[in-house]
Amino acid sequence: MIRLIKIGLLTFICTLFFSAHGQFENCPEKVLLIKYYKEKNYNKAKVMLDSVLAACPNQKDNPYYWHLSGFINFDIFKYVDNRSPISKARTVAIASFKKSLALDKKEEYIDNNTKVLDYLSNSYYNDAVLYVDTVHHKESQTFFNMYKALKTFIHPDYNFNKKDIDFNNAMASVFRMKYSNQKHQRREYLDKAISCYEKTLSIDSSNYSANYNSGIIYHNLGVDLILDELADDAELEKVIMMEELAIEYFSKSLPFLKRAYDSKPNDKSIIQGIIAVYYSLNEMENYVKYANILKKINAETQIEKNN
Amino acid sequence: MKSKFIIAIVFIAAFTLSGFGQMGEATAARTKLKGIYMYQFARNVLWPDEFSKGDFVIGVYGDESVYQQFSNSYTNKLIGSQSIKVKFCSSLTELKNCHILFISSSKNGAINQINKNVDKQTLLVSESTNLASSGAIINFIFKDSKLKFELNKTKAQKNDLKVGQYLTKLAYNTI
Repeated sequence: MIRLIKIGLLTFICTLFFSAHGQFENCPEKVLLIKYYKEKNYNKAKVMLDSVLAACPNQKDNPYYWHLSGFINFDIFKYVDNRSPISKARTVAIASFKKSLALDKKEEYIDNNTKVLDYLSNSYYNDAVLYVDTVHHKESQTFFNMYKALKTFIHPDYNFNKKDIDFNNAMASVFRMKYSNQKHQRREYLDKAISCYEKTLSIDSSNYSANYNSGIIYHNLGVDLILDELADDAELEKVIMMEELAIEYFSKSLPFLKRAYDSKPNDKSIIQGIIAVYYSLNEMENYVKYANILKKINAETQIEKNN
Repeated sequence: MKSKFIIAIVFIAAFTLSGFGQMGEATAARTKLKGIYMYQFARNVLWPDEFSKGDFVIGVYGDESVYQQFSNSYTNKLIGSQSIKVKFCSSLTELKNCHILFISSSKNGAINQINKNVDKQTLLVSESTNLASSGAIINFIFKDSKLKFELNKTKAQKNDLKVGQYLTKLAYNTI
């Protein structure tokens, strides 16, 4: 992609010289605009963009003007703002390229416009990744939405399934982390994590990570209910009520873990999970069944190690 | 680019409570439930006067991890004016002087010998498949995945223990 952009830039600069005179015939400010851009003096070039528009108002309907504006702001985003996620130049570049596309009836600039827009959409994706943490997750969501919006603009049929799954699973991990940091106060984070995994599973019901982690969450919710929310001297009526709730969670956990097991039947951690859930549900026949499966895998691993 | 979020997930996951070291937690949760029941047994059974002085002793026979958990949760809590002490019994000779004795399922086969070695007024709590064969006064069972207890009120009375209405009402099964 970067190579494509470089080729695009080169093409753009070449065309700049050949076409500039024709494009700005009656607008002398263009000379300065081109000069500053050639000198990579992007900030001055940006100021000149406004001057050109002020001096030659008809340029507002010129796809080439907006194409140029897009590249100047794109370079400001890249070289002046160092691809900062908060760079306003990126937003202006996108608006300019979009405007150029809209005005470009002869489709003279369509290739470069779309290539750079594609690059910029990916830059939003990169920022979404950059911000996927417990402090900036809202920004991450915003950037991911911007990535999708721009990508859809360029490629209306783009399939986001893989990216959605990766993003939802990453956000779910963030919410789980936030929950584990403030367990009792912030149950809503766990609900958000569950919701992210649900989104993933609505795209791919066999997604291992979402199934495995949903299973863990529900099992741990049941265990936490007993270990953390029941006082040692709790009345038995409360114990009975909480245990019923815990069992609901254990029961919810099982189908997720089973689906994860179907994806990776030799994964020890998932089998350990299933064993734990069957233990919590006191389904001892199944508990023994999976304990034996684990035992067999451990034995096979040992043989492989010895060989 | 494909793996960026995956890298992020791995990074985050390293700091998040992870998977299933949970067998330990599942066991701890079950033991905790038993502990709460045991504590309520202590509060809702009346022992003869001579047992109402000194420490209130809960013995655990056959499962050291249960002992540890009971001990951490209940040592020095009060039953009336008596302070709870939890002791681990590693052999039949150590079963005396307990108000309550929890017998782990690993010792179910030794119930006759246990009965011979405990004080008459010890409330025996077992985890056997059924109350009658357990030889205990209270027996933990699982019904529909839930922990319940069965109560042998007749044996309790015979051993001079008065079981409160509260427990009788909540028992899954009473004989």
